[in-house]
Amino acid sequence: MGRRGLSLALLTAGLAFASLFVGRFGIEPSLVLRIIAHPGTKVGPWTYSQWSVVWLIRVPRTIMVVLAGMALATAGASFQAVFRNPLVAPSLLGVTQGAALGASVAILFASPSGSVVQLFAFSFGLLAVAISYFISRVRGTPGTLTLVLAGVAVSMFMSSMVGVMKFLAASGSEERISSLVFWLMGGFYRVYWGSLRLPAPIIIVSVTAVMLLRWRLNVLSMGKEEAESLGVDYGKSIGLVVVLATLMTAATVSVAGIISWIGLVIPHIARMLVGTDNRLVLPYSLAIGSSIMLVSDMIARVATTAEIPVGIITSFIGFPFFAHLLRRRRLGWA
Amino acid sequence: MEVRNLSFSFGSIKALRGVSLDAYEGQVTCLLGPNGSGKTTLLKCVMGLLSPYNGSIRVGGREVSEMDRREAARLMAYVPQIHRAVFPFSSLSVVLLGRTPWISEISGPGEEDIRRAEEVMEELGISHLAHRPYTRLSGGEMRMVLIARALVQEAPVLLMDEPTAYLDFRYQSIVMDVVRRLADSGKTVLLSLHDPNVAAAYCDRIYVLDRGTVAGVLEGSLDKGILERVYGMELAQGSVDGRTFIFPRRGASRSSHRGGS
Repeated sequence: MGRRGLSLALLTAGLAFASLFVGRFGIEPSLVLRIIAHPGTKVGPWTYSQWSVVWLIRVPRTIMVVLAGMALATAGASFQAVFRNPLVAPSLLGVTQGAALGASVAILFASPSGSVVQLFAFSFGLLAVAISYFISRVRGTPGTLTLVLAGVAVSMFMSSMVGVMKFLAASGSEERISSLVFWLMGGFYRVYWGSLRLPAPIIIVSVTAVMLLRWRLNVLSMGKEEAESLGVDYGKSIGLVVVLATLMTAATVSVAGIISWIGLVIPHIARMLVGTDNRLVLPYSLAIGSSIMLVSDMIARVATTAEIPVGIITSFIGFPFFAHLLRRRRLGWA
Repeated sequence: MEVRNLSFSFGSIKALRGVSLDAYEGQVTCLLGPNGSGKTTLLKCVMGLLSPYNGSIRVGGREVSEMDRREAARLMAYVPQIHRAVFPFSSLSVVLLGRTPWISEISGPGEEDIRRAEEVMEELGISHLAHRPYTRLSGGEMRMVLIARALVQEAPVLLMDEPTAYLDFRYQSIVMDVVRRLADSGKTVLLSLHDPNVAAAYCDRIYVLDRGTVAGVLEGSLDKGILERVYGMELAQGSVDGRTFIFPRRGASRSSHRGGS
């Protein structure tokens, strides 16, 4: 495990580094290297625009891509464990569709500026999960199944509200419609240093917290009675994990829009490599999630003349990769 | 452990009605009775998995409803009747889960915990299962793994819901020998069983449950009369090597079917 873990970490770091050299704005790799080595020198043997492409666009973008990959994959692995279901994704309780609604409201009625959209998306994402939780609480203590059902309902409601927003937008300005459509398809093209301010600390703190709880995830994945007889306060622990996973997902979606597949597929890939134990599944998911996100984003940047939304890339990579693994090896519960 | 006047309802269904019993250190105490008589409910109430209950359950002098989960898990280990995991954990990982009440909330088991788990699996003769996925084990193997998990929990009280269910002849006696040995080493064992003869052979005291109440307490030998009444069927009795055995007569259940329950 040690050697494999190390090579995976190196791979992720390597991809992150490589990502600084990739982009539409062509800069010689050797020049990029020198610009990276001199962060303070805005104009030197290079122009200001070359410097700013590296330091004001590519670096923050790469950081956000890494954070997004780790957040979605970690959230997916945690949700799969606590809901005892290998088929759930971080969007299960409505956070993604809630964020989408928040973003649409902001883009159409408030301001299409990055930070406003981000704030709306983040808070609507949390709100959607809170609604799911309160619906499931109506009849006393919620079971996880009621919570899941409430989440599905809230998700569907939120996405129909997004539909309403699109309908309203159809009579609005062209610019706002296209910015909405692009937001919904996910991407990192809007990222600058300022857009990291909200999500970066949230993602780092919540991912770290879940990492510390990963033995607890094993216990929770055994179900309520089992966990309780092993001395775990099931309700509180599940609540804590759900809150953390929701925070990291909402923070990611608020910047990157909707990116599907990562949260569902990555934990499976991790399990195929290291087995079921969440003490390994979580760190592996984190590294694989970041790596695949980096690759997807690099493809998104250079595949065509206009940037492709990264959500489209992740589905193109995620699906065949998953299908291949599924055919070659058994998943264990199949 | 003392249970006094315990009642518990699932909605409008009264599962337990004023049950009182005692279980002692160094003894195996058994719950015997037909399906639906409240054996599992009683065990779960004692473990603190079902609440709120009426009456009192004191373990080691403390009321169960006042303990937090971790305290209860350090005092009592529970072996459930059926448990299916969703994810294919290795059997060793499942056994290791038993260390949870002793591990801080933000860490995992260490070397010492793993060694302890391996030791217990060795003692139970299931070391060969350690790296097999728990989800692919037979019912009997799964049961042995769950017993191992309860043992690494190192709780002085063991609660077992039908530990011999799904086990073949040999495994049944392996498990019951282990249970006996655990009691002899000072544990308090409270378990439920279906086979009166196994109960009589291994247990110090048998509480016969019927529709949520204690129908009788047996010590030492079986009482055909009580069992006939509780199961609503005619039984035959025989003796081998000085021990009394009870078994159903063929067709007996049809002749005097009690209905209900």
